[in-house]
Amino acid sequence: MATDLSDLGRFSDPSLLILASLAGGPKHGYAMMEDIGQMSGVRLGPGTLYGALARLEQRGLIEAMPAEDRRRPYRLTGMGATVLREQLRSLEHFATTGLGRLAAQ
Amino acid sequence: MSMTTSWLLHLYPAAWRERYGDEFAALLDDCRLSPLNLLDVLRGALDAHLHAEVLTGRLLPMLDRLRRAEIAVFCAWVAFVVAGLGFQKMTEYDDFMEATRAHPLIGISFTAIQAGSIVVLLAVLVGGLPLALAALRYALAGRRFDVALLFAVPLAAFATLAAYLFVALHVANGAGASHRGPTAHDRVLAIGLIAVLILGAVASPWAVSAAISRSQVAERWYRFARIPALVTMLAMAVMCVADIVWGLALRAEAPHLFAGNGGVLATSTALSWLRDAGVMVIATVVAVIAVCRGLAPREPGATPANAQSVAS
Repeated sequence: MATDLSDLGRFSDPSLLILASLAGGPKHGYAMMEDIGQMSGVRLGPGTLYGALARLEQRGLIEAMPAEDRRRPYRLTGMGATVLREQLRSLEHFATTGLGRLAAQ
Repeated sequence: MSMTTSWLLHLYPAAWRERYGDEFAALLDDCRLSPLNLLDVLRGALDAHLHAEVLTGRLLPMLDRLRRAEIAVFCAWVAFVVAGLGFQKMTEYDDFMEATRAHPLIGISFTAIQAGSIVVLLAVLVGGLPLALAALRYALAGRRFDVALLFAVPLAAFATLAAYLFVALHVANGAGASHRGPTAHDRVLAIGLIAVLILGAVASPWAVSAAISRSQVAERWYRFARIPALVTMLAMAVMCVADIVWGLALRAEAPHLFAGNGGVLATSTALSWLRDAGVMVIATVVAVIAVCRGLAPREPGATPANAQSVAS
């Protein structure tokens, strides 16, 4: 199973933000944009959001739920949770190493 | 749905709108359409057009990778052919043929280029024709005239080239043949011919590639084309090396020819060889990268949730 989002090109960072947002529960597009903005300070554009959503759905990392009015919520799949966990652990290791080196200076 | 939302939505491909249209329209209605957001939507629409079948689950990402690789190899081959035409024109004169017979290294490298060009032509036909025919069948069956019209581009390019040749020969003969080399008049006609040839060589592979990209072609044809694409890349690499060896051998064995003006329009042989070899090297590098990225087996990624390979 692939745990890497880097082959998504310019959609890899937005994809990670979306997975992290959906880890807090199912959300539709606008709710994701707001949540990601509050969580990371990054404001995803609508085109980028849906480019990343479509790719994540194709990979089976998220899945669409029944539409509510015109808004369709998405939720994290088991595979998506695993990929997110791996990515965050990798970032955690990177951050810990970097901070450790700074502290040693 | 506002007029702006409706207009923006129509920038996306129909298949994408079918899957994501309603929810995307709701999002556009919800969020403020700043210039940055507008630009982002335009980029998203372009991306959706470039990867429509992947994003709507009609084509597996792996198959998309394969398709892009095969199209890249095809385009590289066309560029290679254009450079090869320059080489062929330069070596058709008697003194070059004499050098080919007299010096084994020049002869072997020349023969390798000729043999390679036949092998690569056959490989492109074997791998590319089924893809092109499947795309044409899809276009005609689905009344996708925008796709079908793209197949007219190579025919139009060929007809334009033939018409230009006919008129140019007529004009050149009418002006009176000169035995003292090309006149300024001949040079203008020849430059026009080269321009028509290059335009056709750019437009034709673009049109065929676009037609195949916009069609639903059965997966088996992409898989079938893998071996011909690999053969094409290998033959291009062999010809590329042979062309470099040919030039170096000509420089060593027949320096008077190498220093002469045997190129197209009586241009420098050495510079013509360098130009052709440069284009061949670039085309071969593109083909090698495409094959390595697209055709090499890769550890399977996450399984698409709802992707279906095209069965038709």
